[in-house]
Amino acid sequence: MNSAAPFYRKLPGRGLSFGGIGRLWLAEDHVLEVESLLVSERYRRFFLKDIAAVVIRRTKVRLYWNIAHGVLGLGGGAVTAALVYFGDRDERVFMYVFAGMIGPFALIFCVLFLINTLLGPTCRCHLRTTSAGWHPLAAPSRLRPARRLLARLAPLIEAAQATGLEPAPAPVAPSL
Amino acid sequence: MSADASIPPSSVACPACGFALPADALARETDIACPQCRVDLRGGLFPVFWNPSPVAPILADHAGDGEAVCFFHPENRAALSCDRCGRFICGVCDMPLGTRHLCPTCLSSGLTGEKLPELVVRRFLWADTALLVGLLPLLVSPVVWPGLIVTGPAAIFCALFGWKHPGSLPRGRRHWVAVLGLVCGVLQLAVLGGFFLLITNSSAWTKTFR
Repeated sequence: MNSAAPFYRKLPGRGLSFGGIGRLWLAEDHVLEVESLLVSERYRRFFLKDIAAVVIRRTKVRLYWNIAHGVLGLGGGAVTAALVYFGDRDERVFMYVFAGMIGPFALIFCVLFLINTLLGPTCRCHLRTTSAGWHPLAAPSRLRPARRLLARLAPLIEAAQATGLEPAPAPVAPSL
Repeated sequence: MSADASIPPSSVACPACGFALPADALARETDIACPQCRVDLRGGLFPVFWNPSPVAPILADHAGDGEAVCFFHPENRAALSCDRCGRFICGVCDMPLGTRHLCPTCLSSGLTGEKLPELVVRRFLWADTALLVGLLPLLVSPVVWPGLIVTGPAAIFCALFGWKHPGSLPRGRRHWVAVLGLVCGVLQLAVLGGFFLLITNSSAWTKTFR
């Protein structure tokens, strides 16, 4: 008696929050928001015929992360370079060991800085339904996939609301 | 969200500060800046924003002679049939769920037994748990090797117990993840056995050479 699960297609973008990794999926008549936290998933559904508005709000999260990564990466790099080039000759071995410990961490933060910059500006997507106002979405958290999401969803929502998407009620046979 | 109450119908509240933006200013292709918080916004408004459907009163007509009647209200004329069990239902008993129409019995049974995928709000992923409990301790086994006596069987249990449980709703059941977790669990037990052998052999060697 189980109903078949709807077929879902991935929508662009991911998001990272305290609730876990967010992702949106598209079914025939609704958008499914999935928040995965290691071994469990939470779901929210937004029916296409109920979506009144989708708004993408640009945020400064990328800037804050870049400042954090930049300070740690460049600061660590500067300390490493200072230890290698200006270290005391008598304690050179100790300096190299210390630089060898700080250097890889500085490199990791520099790589994270680069990745964060290349991923593009950050944003927050909000979705308004007819019944319950605004919902902040768990994904996407980057502007480029968010714009792709809007471009992909808009015609589907308009089509669903133009037709109503409600199938005609099944005809009821007269009782004998 | 609560700011929406005081927003005029032709306006849309800025999600950041709640300022009432003129709805026609919002565009899909270009960004606009909120006059209050200066945040860049872009978006789309859809037909139900302009024409929200009024809440229609639930109506059920009285059945005439020879007409099909509602399974739950024999005095009411059947309006449609349940998409799950096929029972005739009236407007009062119609429970629309997405594009489907269900009767109250099917809806309540779907709520309790996770029989309707449309009503699932949370899933525990047994296969992913098996992989996590199997792989993570294996990677740090030189440090936590006595703990493998717990995590190894736990990974095997999760993989086997969750074999028939439903997996992720959008991705479906992923048996390969469970198999990987199972293999990691077995490997953990092998590593544990190896450590025990190493200890017993080394103590035997120490005794021999003393």
